[in-house]
Amino acid sequence: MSLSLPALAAQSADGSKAITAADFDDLVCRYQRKVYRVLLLMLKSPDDADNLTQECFLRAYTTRKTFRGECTVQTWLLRIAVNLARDHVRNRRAGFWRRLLRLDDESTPEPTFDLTSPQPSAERGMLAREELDRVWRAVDGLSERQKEVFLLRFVEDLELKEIAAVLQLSTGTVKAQLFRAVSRIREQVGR
Amino acid sequence: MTEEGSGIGHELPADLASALRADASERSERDDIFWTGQRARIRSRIRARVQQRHPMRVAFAGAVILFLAVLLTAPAGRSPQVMAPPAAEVDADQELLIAVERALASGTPQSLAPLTPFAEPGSNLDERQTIPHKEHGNEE
Repeated sequence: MSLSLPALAAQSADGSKAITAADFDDLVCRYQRKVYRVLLLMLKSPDDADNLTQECFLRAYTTRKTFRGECTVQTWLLRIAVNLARDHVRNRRAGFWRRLLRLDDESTPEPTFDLTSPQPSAERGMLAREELDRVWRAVDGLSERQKEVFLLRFVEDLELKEIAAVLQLSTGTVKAQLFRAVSRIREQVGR
Repeated sequence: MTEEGSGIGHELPADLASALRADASERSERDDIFWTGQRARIRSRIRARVQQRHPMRVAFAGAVILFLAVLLTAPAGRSPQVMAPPAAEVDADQELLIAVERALASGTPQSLAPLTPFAEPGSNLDERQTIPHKEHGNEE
């Protein structure tokens, strides 16, 4: 459920305040799973996803006064999360090149979350596990932008308009990116 | 109409999409201890950030108080000792008039003294006697 901050403010005793500490606790409770899931699928590292989820809510707390209710709280939080993930990926890439240039053999590779690891699931019974694994592998091969659009559409089930608001793109661009992503996935999966 | 424009190309097969969603949820699922711990960590990071800002606020408030104290205790404007009195406007005519009056009050100016016997035949002897004395003084 998407809840706007003014609605949260209305719930609090003092309506003049944008958001109270109690409201914020409620907000964390409501959206932490979603934010964590998006970050985990983007970064594939449980530790990074956990750390950036915390960072996302910290940033939301410190910038809560700038939130004017022009979008939903969910859109606002996902926008912060996606921006954090982008920065993190950029830093990780830069770190990789730095390590490579220094030929730093002591550095250990960051532990990553294997999305294709086998886990028993009722849903997985519906489809061959190999097919799902092929999808995740294909998602890995997408560009950052296509991956973001794809995950927000098919994992978070967001509307195109909402995805556009999260990624600060036009709906047309989102459509085009999604089309390319889906075409590529279908190509890989063979459906 | 192209496939991209029609919207068909934007969708995955329904069974695949739902399996993907379920799989993603399952993979990101954590127990309650994890979520509670994460909330606690978020709260502590917020608290740390607020406390980090607190000393800055104290320092800023101190600076403001100091500034106000200096502003209130400092004399308004320049001190009278330092400030030069405004210069009186000097009227040249007035000055000349005053000088003439002073000269008249103090008697005949010395430079005009030799001419006084000619200018004033009835003047007293004392004044005439002073002339040779003055001339003599000049010769010396």
